[in-house]
Amino acid sequence: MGSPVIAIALADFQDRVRRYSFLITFLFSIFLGYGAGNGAVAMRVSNSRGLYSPAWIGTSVALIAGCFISLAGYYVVKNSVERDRATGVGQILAASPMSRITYACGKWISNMAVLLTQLGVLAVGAVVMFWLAGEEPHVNLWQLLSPFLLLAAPMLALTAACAAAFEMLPGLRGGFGNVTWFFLFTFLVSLPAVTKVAQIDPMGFQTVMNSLKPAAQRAIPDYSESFSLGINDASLKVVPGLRWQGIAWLVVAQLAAPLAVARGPLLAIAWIWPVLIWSAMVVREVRYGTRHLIACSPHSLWHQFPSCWL
Amino acid sequence: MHLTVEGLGKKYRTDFWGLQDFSLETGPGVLGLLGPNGAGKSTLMRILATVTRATAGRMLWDGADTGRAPDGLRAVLGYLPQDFGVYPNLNAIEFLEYLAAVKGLRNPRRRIDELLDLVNLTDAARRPLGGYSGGMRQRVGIAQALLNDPQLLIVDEPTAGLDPEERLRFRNLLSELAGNRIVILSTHIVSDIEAVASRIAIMKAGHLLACDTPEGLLRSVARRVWEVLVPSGELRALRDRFLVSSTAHRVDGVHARVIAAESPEFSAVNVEPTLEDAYLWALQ
Repeated sequence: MGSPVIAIALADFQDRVRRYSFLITFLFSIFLGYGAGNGAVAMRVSNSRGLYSPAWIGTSVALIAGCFISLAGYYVVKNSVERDRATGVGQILAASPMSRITYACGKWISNMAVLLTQLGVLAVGAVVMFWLAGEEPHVNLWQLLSPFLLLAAPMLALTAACAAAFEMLPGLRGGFGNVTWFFLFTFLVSLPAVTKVAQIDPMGFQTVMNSLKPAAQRAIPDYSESFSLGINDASLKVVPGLRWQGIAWLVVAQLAAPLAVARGPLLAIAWIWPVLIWSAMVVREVRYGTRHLIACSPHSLWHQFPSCWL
Repeated sequence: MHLTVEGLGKKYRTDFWGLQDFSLETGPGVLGLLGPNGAGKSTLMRILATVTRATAGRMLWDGADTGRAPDGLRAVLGYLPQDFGVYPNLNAIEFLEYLAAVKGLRNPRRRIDELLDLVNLTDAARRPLGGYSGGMRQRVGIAQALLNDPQLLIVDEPTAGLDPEERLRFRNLLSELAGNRIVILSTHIVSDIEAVASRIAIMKAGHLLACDTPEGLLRSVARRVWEVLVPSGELRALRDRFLVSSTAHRVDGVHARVIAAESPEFSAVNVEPTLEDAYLWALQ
């Protein structure tokens, strides 16, 4: 436990995962994973579903997980700063040399670790459910698990950050913060339906819809671009021709940073950024009083450069 | 190492000062803070520990203003707050490892083992803290305050919840620690301070009433402490007229210890003062 950020995150995480409340949410995650995997809670297009390909199951479970863990998980993790205040541990922390930003980052990482653990359970559940469904013989782990990494995890990182930030902002500490999160979450979920813009889509709904659309149009003649996520009944029709290969993440990355943007500002930043490293190299040694140690080392600049860059 | 406090004040509400115009200087040794509940001891401790900002005045650690740059002091500070809690699902080793990392210590395991041994918790070190008794938690608190081998150790009511044996052990520990560091010990139990403090500051209602060596405080009540024998029925009347520090019921009546500038009555016998007498006299 070297870094204070990691120390805070680890201690907080260990304390929380050993509580009964975590066990309950953990078990509920398994139950939800089962429901998402067997199609009871899943995504559908035009009242149908595609074959249970790795991408379909992975994306379906990841979207459900992103929604559920994001909404409910916020209330699970939003108490760690309050606990430090209530127990008096906060006084000891306040008297330590640790900075506020270190404390905030530690709490954020701890919140994220708790939420990602639950997401991890659902990801494992998705793999199991894929095998049990048996609609496709071969598993593509990237297609199955990438939605967890690239759709659900960023949303959970945002949730974890909001939980930590709300606890540290005086007006949002209590019940008002809880209500605010509910409305903020609803707003974030409904954003893509309103804007139809993939870049403004924290849950990734629009990205999934855009990716599913060509496959759905080919497989379902009267496809009306309807897409939903929720509880399904037994009457849900399976479309054998709808075998979705998943989201092409390279395309999504290009959408997020279009070529024109990449060529313009990003390229300029990429050119300027190393200057900050070069300029910091000598300044840092003066600041910390290590210049004599560095200067008397053999090939000091040559050795220092890669370490600074990394 | 030197701690200077100049005119410290803490205003809680528009008209209430929890601490007012508090000044003192101290070097290595144990400074005992004595005062009744509400005297402002914990407020002062929190300001000294850089947890709370003072409304007025300043504090200097080796000449540096801690209000402007608290991290210089925090790196060499050990603090045990009065109301101190733990993470109930961590064990003592995990909790101390956590706080060691927060304090920026590298490879603290050996130090943690030493401290757990020092506070007599080695056998319980791997049990969750939630199952610890109040005294055991207090000992974990003492261990965490000593993690970084602090130059300034601030302990607020440290013996609360400790059994007599542990209390004695802690007093001895403080005496050993005080040789090369500043220890500020706050309590309302005079015997705790009497055993270890090289200087004693007495506080009341947010003000510093006296700050002196134990001998100096004892001198302030020399020839002012009397033992008076009264029938038990007259004890109340005696209390109404004089400051009575203690009483003992015996077969011949009540032997009352009275603190007064003049002899309270003809039969009164002048006796040796104690620190408790000096404390009560200062509070009066």
